[in-house]
Amino acid sequence: MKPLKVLHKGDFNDMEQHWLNDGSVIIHLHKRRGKKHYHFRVKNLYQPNEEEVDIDTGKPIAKGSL
Amino acid sequence: MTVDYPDWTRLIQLIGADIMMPIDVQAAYIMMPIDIQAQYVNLEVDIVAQTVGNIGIDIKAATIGNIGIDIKANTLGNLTIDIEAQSIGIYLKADWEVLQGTDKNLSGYAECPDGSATFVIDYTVVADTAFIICQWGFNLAADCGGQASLWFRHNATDARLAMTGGRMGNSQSFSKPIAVVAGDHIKLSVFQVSGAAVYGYGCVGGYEI
Repeated sequence: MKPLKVLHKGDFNDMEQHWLNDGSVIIHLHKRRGKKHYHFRVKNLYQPNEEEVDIDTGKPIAKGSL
Repeated sequence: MTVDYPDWTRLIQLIGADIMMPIDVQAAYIMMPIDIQAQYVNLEVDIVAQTVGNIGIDIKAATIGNIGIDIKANTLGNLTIDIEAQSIGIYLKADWEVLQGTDKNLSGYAECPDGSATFVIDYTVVADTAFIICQWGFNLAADCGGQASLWFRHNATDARLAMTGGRMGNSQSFSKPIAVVAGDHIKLSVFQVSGAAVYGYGCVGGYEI
């Protein structure tokens, strides 16, 4: 499942958000059942134009690379 | 039995290889011990009554499918469930919470400029659930000795629903948890006046049920 979908479904136990000066946020989700971790970066969190971006550069991720 | 027959006390005993027996019993007073011994049983019980006394169900089988229990009553006595199984898909709410199935901790941090509120957590409560906030806390990273406060705002009205403050940080457990309904945001912001920009951290913990 894509990380953003995990966030919106609330299918995790622990979340850490690191808010960056450009307004994007690096999110780490942890689901204890299955010991799953998701680490990703989002621009415009919870906005209509919300998108997952490259975690290092903050630039859009090329299609097909997710 | 379509007519009243109050003296009917004889045992109904059916013995066969394949038995299908719908039973419709309507009476003012019913006492009906049922003893079923078979290789395969599919049993549906539908009871409508003014008063239901004790219901005892004792099932022993190698494999048991789904058991659906739907109880509607103004008053319910003790409900005792004793299950021994190698594998079972039932959790009582308290047990499930102990297993941390609904346990949720949110934390976040950001560089917080002096004299303004900075969001450190933004989370939207999932549809058909409520987030029960049981505790929260915050701290400033640098040893700046600054005052800071943590705000929890309603996402639609921007009203401050709760806030706490302290020197360098604070944490609280709520004796009356804060319930945030589905679709609402849990937005925490740190406001600090240390005199310089420092990293502020916030956290909330509770259950999403």
